[in-house]
Amino acid sequence: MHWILLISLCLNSVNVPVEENGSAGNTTPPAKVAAPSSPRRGPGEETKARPTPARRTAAAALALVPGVLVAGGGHWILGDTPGAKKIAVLKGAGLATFVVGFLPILYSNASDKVMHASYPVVIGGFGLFAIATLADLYGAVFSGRPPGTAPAFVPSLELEQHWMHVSDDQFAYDQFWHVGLTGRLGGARLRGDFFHSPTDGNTRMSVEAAWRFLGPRTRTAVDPGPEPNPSRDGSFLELSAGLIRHEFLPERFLVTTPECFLLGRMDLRHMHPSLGGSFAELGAGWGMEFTDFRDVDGRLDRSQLLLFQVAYGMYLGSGERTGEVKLFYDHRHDDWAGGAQGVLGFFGLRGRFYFSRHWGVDWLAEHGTATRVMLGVVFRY
Amino acid sequence: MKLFRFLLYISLLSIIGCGDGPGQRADFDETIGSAAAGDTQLSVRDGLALVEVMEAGRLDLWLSAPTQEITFTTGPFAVPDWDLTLRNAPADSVLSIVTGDATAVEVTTGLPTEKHWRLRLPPDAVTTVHIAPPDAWLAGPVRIAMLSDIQEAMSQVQDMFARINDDPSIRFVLSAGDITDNGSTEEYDRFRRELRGLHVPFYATCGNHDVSIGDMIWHRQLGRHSFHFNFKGAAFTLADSADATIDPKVYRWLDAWLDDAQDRWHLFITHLPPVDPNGVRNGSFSSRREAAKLISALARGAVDLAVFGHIHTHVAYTLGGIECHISGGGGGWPMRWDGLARHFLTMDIDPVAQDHDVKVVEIP
Repeated sequence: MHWILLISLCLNSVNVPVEENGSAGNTTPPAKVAAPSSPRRGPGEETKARPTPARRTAAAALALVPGVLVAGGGHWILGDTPGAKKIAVLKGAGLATFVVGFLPILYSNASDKVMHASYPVVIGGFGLFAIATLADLYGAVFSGRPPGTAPAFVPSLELEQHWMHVSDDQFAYDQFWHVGLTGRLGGARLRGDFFHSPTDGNTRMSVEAAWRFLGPRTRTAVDPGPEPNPSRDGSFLELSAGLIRHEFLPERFLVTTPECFLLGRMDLRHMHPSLGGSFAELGAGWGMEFTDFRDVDGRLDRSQLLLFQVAYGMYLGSGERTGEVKLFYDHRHDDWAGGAQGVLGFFGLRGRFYFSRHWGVDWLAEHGTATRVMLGVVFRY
Repeated sequence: MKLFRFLLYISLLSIIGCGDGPGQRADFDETIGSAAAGDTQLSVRDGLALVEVMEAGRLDLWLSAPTQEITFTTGPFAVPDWDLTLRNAPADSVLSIVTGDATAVEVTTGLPTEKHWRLRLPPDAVTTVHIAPPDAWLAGPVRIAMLSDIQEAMSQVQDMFARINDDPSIRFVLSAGDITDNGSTEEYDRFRRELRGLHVPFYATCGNHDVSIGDMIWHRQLGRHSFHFNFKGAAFTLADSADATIDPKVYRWLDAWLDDAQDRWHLFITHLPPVDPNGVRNGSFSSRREAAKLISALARGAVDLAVFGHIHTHVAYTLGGIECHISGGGGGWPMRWDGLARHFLTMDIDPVAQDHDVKVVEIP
């Protein structure tokens, strides 16, 4: 987390000129940030005061330490008491959820009889807690600055090609290339991926079909235009089902994993103005691994997978030149990165930015027992 | 208090996760079993004994296996007379001089698992001795016990030892670790004192609790974290997975051990199950891919039986066609609602028939 503090210090050391009603060339209104030292100001005055870089730095620092435990400290330092209260409620809800889920596990010493019901609750509580902590940090660093906006349109087609490097001392592979293709029609999405390592022949293929219940969908004959639209909402709720086939040639086993996943994203300006331009994701699912050991005759090994993701991200840019970056936790233990330690999954940073209507870059860094980085180009239509 | 300790362990594990615990422990393993004093050098084959004391005329070893091959290399000025003390040794161990003109006289001790000899080593010579029960090299049926995850129930371990002592056919006890609750020196000292109540040796690999304070204690108290030995025609491999992974160096050793035991009945023991039978809980390796890699290697190596700890109940299941047992019933944080009391396993092994039978022994 130290890098977040470092980024916030760098950002705060730059005195960004922002007009009272938004930055030049940007119609986005600044998020409201109350001045802490002027409790008697009228409602219209509170947007005029801007926190000093020192106060913002202090807010970011407090959001981290002891902000992990003390809810809303960053917003409170900036004088945004309503924001601090909302974050405190979210963090409290996360903590309460975590405790409610954890107590049966603690009492039963991880009995099989409680794990399926309790463990997802524990991780969900952790997710809410993490989102609240990062929201406090985001608000402390970025509130009052022109926020990025959700993508101008949902492409019907995305073609990706990546170079990937996995640093895992348990396997010989390191370099991979990846190609991915995503097609969308209305609320439907179909995606296919292919990874291959020339180092040892490790190959993974996957297909995924999804349906978006809520949120932006593809539209035809709509020109997003160059102007940003701050009211654009990137929130969505999507259910997906997928199949992964991963072959480890030298190690002589093949893993096939059917899985389903429900993922939701909420643009956090709905929660509080200071969080405009950021979003949170929470997703859960279930999978079943079938492992075929080449040297073993008979039935395949089966094992369940609890799938869970929590992410906090922010939109970058506006109009056609948009993108996003997000910090995430993924509970998978079967991916390239593996789990970070025992029951923990892995952490990562993912981003994508379209620098024109059709072309963009995509990057990813993950760390668990292994480290995985990806860098590639994306074409959208 | 329990919650506090849980959070403390999580914090400690997180700190350990930042270091190279498994790699450091594998490096320590390579140093076990070698020492020198004056003009005498000692080498224990495969590092299967910890040199506790080696000074002029005195050698104390803590054994990690029932069969030992020890080589002394003496120079012209070497001390000739040595008091050799072996702890954690089978009561029926005998010492035979394989090469050299040394002499040995056994001295009676009070503990069944402590053996003592007076050795006279000739100067300028290489002397190799074997120490093992007389039938150790003859393939045949053997019964052993398996006891893991004692942790905070160490104060009650004597009733389990008494039950094991009641069965004279049990030759030794194996453990998949988590002997201690937090891996402190005081706990290891306490456990070694408790072992004086056990009439057979106790050979173990470490669990996550055993290294939660650090990686500097186990190898000074109990020797290697990962090792392999043969007894009565069966092969036994214990591998360190205390950090929910096995170090690449240990995998290289494992390849050799699997090759060595390809045609023999083979038991594999490690603390964490590579795959938890309850995948949602995932009390297992951090990486499912590494787990599959391990299982694939064990299956290729024709391992007959695998036993794990960590999960505080008993589960029998198969991985890669290999019969597996999770047995974490030593008393630490016992799982509720599993219908089991504290327990250990007995294994009747017939290496000639390549067969085995595993039973759960409960201690109400």
